[in-house]
Amino acid sequence: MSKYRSLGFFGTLILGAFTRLFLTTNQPLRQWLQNRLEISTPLTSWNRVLEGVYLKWSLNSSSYEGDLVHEIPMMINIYHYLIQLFTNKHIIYVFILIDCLNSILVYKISYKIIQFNCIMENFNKTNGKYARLFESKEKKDDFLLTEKNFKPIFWSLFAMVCYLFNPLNLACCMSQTTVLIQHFVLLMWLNFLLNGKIFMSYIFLAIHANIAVYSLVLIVPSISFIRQKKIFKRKQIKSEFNLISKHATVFVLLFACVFMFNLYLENFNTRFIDCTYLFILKVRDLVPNMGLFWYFLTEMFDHFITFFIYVFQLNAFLYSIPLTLRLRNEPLVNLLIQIGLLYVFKSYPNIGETGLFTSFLPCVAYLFPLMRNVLVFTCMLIAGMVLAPIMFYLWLGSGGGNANFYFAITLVYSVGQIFLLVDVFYACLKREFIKLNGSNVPLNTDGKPANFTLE
Amino acid sequence: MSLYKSDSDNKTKLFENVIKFGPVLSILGYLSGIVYFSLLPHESLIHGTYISENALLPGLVTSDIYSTDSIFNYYHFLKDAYENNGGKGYNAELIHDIFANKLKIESYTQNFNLSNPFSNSETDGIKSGTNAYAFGRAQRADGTESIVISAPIYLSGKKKKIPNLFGISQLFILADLAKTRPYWAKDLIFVATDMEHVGIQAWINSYFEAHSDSIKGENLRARGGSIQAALNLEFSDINTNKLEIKLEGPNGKLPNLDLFNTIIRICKSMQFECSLESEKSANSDFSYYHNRPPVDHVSGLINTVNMMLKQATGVPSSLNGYFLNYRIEALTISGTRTSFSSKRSQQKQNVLKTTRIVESTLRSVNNLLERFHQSFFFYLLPSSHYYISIGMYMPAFGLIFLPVLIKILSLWFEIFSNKKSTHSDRNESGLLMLDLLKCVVIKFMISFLFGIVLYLGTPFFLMFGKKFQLSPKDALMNCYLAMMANILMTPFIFRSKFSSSGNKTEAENINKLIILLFLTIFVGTISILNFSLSFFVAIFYSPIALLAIQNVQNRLAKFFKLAMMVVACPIVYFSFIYLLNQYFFENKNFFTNPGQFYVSLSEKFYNFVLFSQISQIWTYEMINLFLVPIWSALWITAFN
Repeated sequence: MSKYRSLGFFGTLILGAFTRLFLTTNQPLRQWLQNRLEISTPLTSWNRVLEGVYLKWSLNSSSYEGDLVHEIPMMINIYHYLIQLFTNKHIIYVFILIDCLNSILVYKISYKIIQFNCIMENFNKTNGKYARLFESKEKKDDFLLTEKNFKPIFWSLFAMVCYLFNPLNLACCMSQTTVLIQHFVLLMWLNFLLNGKIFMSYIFLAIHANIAVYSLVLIVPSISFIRQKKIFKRKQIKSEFNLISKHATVFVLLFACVFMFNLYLENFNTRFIDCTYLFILKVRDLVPNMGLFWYFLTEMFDHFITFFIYVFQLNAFLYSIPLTLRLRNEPLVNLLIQIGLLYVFKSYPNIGETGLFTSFLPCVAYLFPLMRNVLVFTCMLIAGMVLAPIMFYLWLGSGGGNANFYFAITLVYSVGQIFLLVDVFYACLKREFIKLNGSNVPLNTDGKPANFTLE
Repeated sequence: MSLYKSDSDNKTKLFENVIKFGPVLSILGYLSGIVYFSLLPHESLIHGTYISENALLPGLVTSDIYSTDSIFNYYHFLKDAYENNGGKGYNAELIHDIFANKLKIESYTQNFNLSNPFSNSETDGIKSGTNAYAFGRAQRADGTESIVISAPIYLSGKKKKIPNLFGISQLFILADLAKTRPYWAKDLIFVATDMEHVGIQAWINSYFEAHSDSIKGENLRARGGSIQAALNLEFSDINTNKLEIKLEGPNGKLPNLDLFNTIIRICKSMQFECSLESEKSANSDFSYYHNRPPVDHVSGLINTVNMMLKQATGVPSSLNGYFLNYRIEALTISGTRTSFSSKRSQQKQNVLKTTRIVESTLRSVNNLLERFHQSFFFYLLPSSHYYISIGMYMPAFGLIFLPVLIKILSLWFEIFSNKKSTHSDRNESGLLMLDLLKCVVIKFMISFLFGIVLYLGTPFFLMFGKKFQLSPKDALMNCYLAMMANILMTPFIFRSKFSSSGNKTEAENINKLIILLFLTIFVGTISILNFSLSFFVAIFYSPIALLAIQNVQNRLAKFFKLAMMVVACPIVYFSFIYLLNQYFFENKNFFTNPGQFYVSLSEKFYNFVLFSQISQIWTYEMINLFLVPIWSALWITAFN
């Protein structure tokens, strides 16, 4: 652990914690943030959690009375104990603590990701996989990653800074959204996965999949990662099918266990299924947020809604397997892209989720020179973040605008995120092409240099 | 072509073109933006106003006001009360008394007090006043909707307060109609407010139970339905032969154009002269004989600029503005007198017409089936019969800001192409980070620190003023100027700190890029909320920002650059606009005696800051928090 004890690490951590503690003194800001729809979605609002706790322990009825609470019973129980331990007034410090833990996890995970990528490329290089790269005319000495030219300590620290001082994450921490705890679960999964403790990682993924149904698909990239790791440890994979089915079964069993545990906590009352899983899948709450669902569904005739919900929800699940197949040699980039895609196609997205996956971008900083639209998506994301509250105000505050104003901005924001993910994907593929085929520009059949396009 | 580059050859070519033709395009864009903007009130580009909401049906009802007798009765009654006893009898109590006892409608008074946030002691800063408000309940409606007619008891005049006798008398006439006529679909709420801008805010805040730090009003004892529209009546004199409409609300908000059109239509049908506030037109005769007067380009432009100047400050032009904060479309109708024909019959005619116009407007609004939602919320008015919509004026704004956008693109490309050529150097990224830390982070931290100090500093400025026994006005102005001097001195103090080692151009380019991006975000965001403010910022800061980040070697050119940067200091720039405004629109020549200008400016500045504290107007705060840091960063950059 000595490497963590660098000055930079603790310095940023303490600075981040102090920034948060300093911001907690600003009560109006916290109030304002708690009421923002972009942060307090139905799934993550702290006020709803309080309601659920009150309903269950003070009124002795179900938390899901009144269809306000959409957290799973397990989480409600955890929050109840947290509130009992710290009282609601001081719970913000727990959130700050969890946010700091998250940032440490981000640091550790980024470190692992970079290290893994470096080792993997070195492994492939010694195996002669990149022979054509060294034969090509135009050479670049530092094209392949090594720990010397892409220092893990520096870039993972940068990732941590990105997490701690991202205004989106700061806003989430100040508004006490439970998205921080969801992040914690997700990061624990990544951490265990990267450290090779597969069973533990599946437990956390199963919990996260119970909270937000969409993360079920993350099992696909995790299996891909495990397979890659096996190859690289020179273990023989007897049958790919066996591997996949084994891991999938374990995960499904764990998922079922967590589900049963929830059911047990609710005394085998199945009501919570409708309020959590089906609430996410059926998109019943059309209060505006930064996602793509609410506007389409409010504008639509009722009899089309079922069909379009199927189509939209398919989007979230569809890309997992094709992406994994295509990026089977870059399992970690695959993981990051898939986490990002989930966050775009979710039914109730929260801006903190964008904050989480953008803070992992320093891990793939080597891809940036190969990206095409960095300026475009940066501007789109900034415009989305700055203009969203203003458009919201114009629509519902001053009355000069209408719903289209806000929707246009959420669209810009979502498209910006998709551009970002597609650009990461594109750059990753291009890099792979160069690694395997060298940097000579191949010729088309008509003799002209070929273009590299994403199709 | 190399695969290591991110862009295809086509894109590279495009970027090269941008860099090559960028300067030409920038100058062309900027100039064409200004030309296009000044051509907006021209015949070929302008649109005539029209009523978009069919339900309004302006001017189709027969008036129920037949004679002026009762108007004059009320008027003389109020006048007597005002003239006897030194004006003390003319107050909210009297108005409440007439509502409650003569007209026998539901009426109440509301006490409020204003605590001056800048006053020295706790006690002497508190002023109090009384509003009167009454409800003319619609007999045959369910009372879910209402219209507000407000009139200030006193108007602010040049020297002393002028009683709004005619405006208040009209309230009584309308209250009588509200009580006796069966056709009202909406409750009428009559409000007579004290202390100009304060009273109306106290009433509205209490009506919506909104909290304000400095204005505390009693709770209201009754309410009407949801308020659809509000008219504010201001008549300094009963001899009125022209109506002026005031629109501008707080923070650049404007009421729905339909309401304005309705009043203009009604005035037209009554053959009564009516215009925007201080509207200039070359052919004033036409404006009321013709259905739509011919377009007058020059005066149209002057009127547009005049309206934009008023909108840019964010201070509402009249009391109607505070309704706009709560999504209530509101206008001020103020009477003026252009000719001095004091024929008794003519005067009676005018009084009757004026009252009928107000009544007819109310009855148009009474027809509404839904909230005002058609027509425009974002517009500029070159005259009362023509408008410029947001779709027309935004391109001008975009063209004016084009140079900055082009510069951002070319800077971006420069940074990226540089990175590729020097990427092989391993220490580069570490060194670059150090440079960035030195060159960018510190610069921005200092700049934003200044902004935050100015944003939070007002009470401290006043405290210092008290220590040195200055009046609050002088204290505020002097402290603000001292802060500006501080910013001007910063580059001298930190000169060695900002200069970077190693790869200088890279870090400097990133610094320039970030400043320009900040400026773009600021101007772009404000353009949606308060177009005029952002226009006046963009038209000057767009060329200035480019000038500031340009490296010049020539000593004369450098001096010119720095001189322009001093002018670009927000307070200098806005004072300059104020000076021009006074010169062209108010006919005050401050060029000859700068001393008087300074006095007038510091008074205006003090009032502005006080007003933005009381009425929650964010222009001052926005400029302090964002424009001052941007300028400060530009100034520091310009020095290197």
